Amino acid sequence: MGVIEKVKLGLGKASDWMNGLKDKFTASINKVQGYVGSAFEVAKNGSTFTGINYDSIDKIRGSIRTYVTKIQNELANINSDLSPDKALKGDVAAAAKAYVKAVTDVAEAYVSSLLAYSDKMYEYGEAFRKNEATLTQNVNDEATALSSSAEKYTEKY
Amino acid sequence: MDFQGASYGVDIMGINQYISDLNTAILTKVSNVIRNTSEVETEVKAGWVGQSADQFLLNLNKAADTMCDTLKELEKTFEAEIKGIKDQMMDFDDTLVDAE
Repeated sequence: MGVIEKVKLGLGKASDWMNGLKDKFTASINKVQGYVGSAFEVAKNGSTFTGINYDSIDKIRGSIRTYVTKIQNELANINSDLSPDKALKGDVAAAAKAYVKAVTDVAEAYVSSLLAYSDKMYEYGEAFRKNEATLTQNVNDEATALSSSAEKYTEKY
Repeated sequence: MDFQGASYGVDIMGINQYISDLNTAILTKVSNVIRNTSEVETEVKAGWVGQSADQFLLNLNKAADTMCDTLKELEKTFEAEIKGIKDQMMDFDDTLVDAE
């Protein structure tokens, strides 16, 4: 076998490794997506916010947002400061890029699940506030009606 | 030898340094941030009581642990793969030398 054929064979093998590596990363990403999805899934039906102080929802959501931002900032630092091109070339560099992308994807799956949960918390709070407003209005209406009745009411017996 | 201009090849020292830097960034910095759920816990405990709140915090911390385990898993996969590629490329170089 000549040198050119051997180079082609070597490049082909590197490409096979790359596909294998991406498959392994994809398996890990899928596993995490499934896990975090189900970890916060119960909240999707809005049934897990029992006992929450509705006035605290904004603060809790703010703390979740801060937590998420810190994770995203660390990921951004990796993508900007640790470019594989500084140390690696060719397929090895591509493998490193695939790795960093896998880490980013896994973290984003986690972060997205938390943000979706946070939105459900907001919707739950809004639904409560709306119901509370309706209840208050109903009570006021009743009170007005009673008051009006009281003014007009005359003893029958 | 300067590998910055090379289109194909491996700077072994560079790879080792790169992996070390990635370990620090991913397994230490990112993992630490993920594990640090204290601020969320503080706000939840201040404004949410009962089983649902406990369950959320349990889910959050379990998910954070799973995340960190997965990051370790990814890093091990990457490191093993890079080692395999390095070994293979060195064998490949030897073969080329033999061919010449």
